[in-house]
Amino acid sequence: MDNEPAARAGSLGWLGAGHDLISRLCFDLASALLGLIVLSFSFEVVARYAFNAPTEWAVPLVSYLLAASIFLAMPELTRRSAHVSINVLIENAPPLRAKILLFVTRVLAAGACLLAAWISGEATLSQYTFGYSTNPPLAVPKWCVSIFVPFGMLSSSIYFLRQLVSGAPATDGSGEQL
Amino acid sequence: MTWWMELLGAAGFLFGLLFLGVPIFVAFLLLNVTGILVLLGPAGFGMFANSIFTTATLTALASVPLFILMGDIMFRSGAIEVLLDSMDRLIGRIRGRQYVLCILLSAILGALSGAAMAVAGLLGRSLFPSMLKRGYDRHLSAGTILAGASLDPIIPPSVLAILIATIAQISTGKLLIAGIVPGMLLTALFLIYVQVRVTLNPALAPNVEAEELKARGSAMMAFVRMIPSFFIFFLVMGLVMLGIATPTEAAASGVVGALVLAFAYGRLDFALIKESLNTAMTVTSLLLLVMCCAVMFSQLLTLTGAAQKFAEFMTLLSLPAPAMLFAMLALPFFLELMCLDTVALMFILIPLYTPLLKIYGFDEIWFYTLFLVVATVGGITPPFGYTLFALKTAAPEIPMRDIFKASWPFTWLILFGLLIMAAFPPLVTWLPNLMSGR
Repeated sequence: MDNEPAARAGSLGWLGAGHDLISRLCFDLASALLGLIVLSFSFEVVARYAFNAPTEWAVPLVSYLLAASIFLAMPELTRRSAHVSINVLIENAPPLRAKILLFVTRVLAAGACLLAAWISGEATLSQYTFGYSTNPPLAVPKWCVSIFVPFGMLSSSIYFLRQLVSGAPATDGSGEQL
Repeated sequence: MTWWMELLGAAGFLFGLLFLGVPIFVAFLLLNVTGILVLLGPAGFGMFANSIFTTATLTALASVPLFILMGDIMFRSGAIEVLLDSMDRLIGRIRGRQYVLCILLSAILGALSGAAMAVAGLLGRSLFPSMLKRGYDRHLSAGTILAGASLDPIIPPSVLAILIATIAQISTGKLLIAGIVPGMLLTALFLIYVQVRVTLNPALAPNVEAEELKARGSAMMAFVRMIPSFFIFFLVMGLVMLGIATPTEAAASGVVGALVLAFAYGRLDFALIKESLNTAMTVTSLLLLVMCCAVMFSQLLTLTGAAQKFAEFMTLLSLPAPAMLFAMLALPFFLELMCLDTVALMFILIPLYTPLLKIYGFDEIWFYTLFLVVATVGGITPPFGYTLFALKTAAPEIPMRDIFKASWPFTWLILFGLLIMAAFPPLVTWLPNLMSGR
């Protein structure tokens, strides 16, 4: 599952190690948030059907937790090269052509993630500036939820760039579980 | 630019990126950003950011990690071993019993997990070697594993069904429940097929007497031991069917049920919970990231009117309803044969199909169940079906050529089953129609 050597090879010393550590912690946090989703909805089911007292916070809270967990987990998955892709061309190409293909796909991926980080970052900044909130009944500053999108995209973009340098394998197979 | 140029341009751009090997979510990111730049200019970027945010905060999608988590806890809890032993005991002494066991176990695993590749891998590692050792035919053994695994995304809970329902904006609960009868129908077709094959050619399976049948207690006890796992399935699907809970709430209840089961089997500990959460988070993030980045594509299709114009163009062809249905189902099948990913395919085709379904008056639940079956059969169709490679990875000793050969009869059987479901829509729709509104 882990491509430690390859990922490490491309890291810039302690900076890379720090990046890896943050990504792993964020992934663990995402898993913990998933646990919180289970708890919130289980509480909601019991409150609603056993005590006829549905909560107002469970549904919106779960939606915020879901958004946060998807993008908190994203950098670690990029570190593992776990994203689903169709690798027929790369796998069947001669080594040099495969290397070039992998280089091109990573340049595209890094660029796309950077662009997405910029676009979503701008949106988050404007939510912060104008003080936008999510809808009631659990209104929170919108940027508190959306900030995870530019974070996940930016960190993934850095990983694609690091893999570009290190030449990590195309995939770790996690996507096969889909 | 005319609508068909926009559509062909977008499809060409996306397919090009996908075949290049770009991660699917990146391909959709690039497609949508380019589409916005061409159609709206940079002013439209806010729309894109909003589309990602809105999709990521869809509560209905929380059922995806919850169902995956439920399945993973069940796998790790030891419930699968109990089910395998109990099924083995219940099937009794019939010729070709391992084929039957494999198919029935797959159907049950489908009710617990819903990931074809995971089940193909699991059975490929566990059941396949034992089938070969006992003298079962290699092709038919591999075929039953592939066929059984292909039941999993159809039988609820199915992650693919949740995604289809979310993209098509139809009832998730109804689409999940709609998979029950088709799943049972296909299971029956597979069982009939293996029994006919074994009857016609007894060499495909060893003599019952030659098989090692360990004594494992009474049949009644075997049945009783299966009840906890079945209870969780009926708890989850029953809550949805009776309209008592939404699929997401039912999934959360299923997770709690699975934890109780793991506790009962003495396997519940921190490591199990952590590993299951990590697995569920990995699969969920990979899947929903694609969804977050892809949803904008359908919004662009609607915005440009390309989806509507495509539907109008198709109606100009004046195809009779059965021919249109055939075309709409054949297209994803052939695109899958060209190695296009099932999830990516759903984001391209569903927005185009939605207006067509309304024009032709096709029942959406019925149509998308058929679509789900087609999406599934692509997984076991040579040469690029993902499930084929999952089996190859789990059982490297079997040549790819043999796996391809093994899969064809079952591919045709599923297509035959699809024909039956298409000809008799109530087979698919009667169960969801019994449900309350959710």
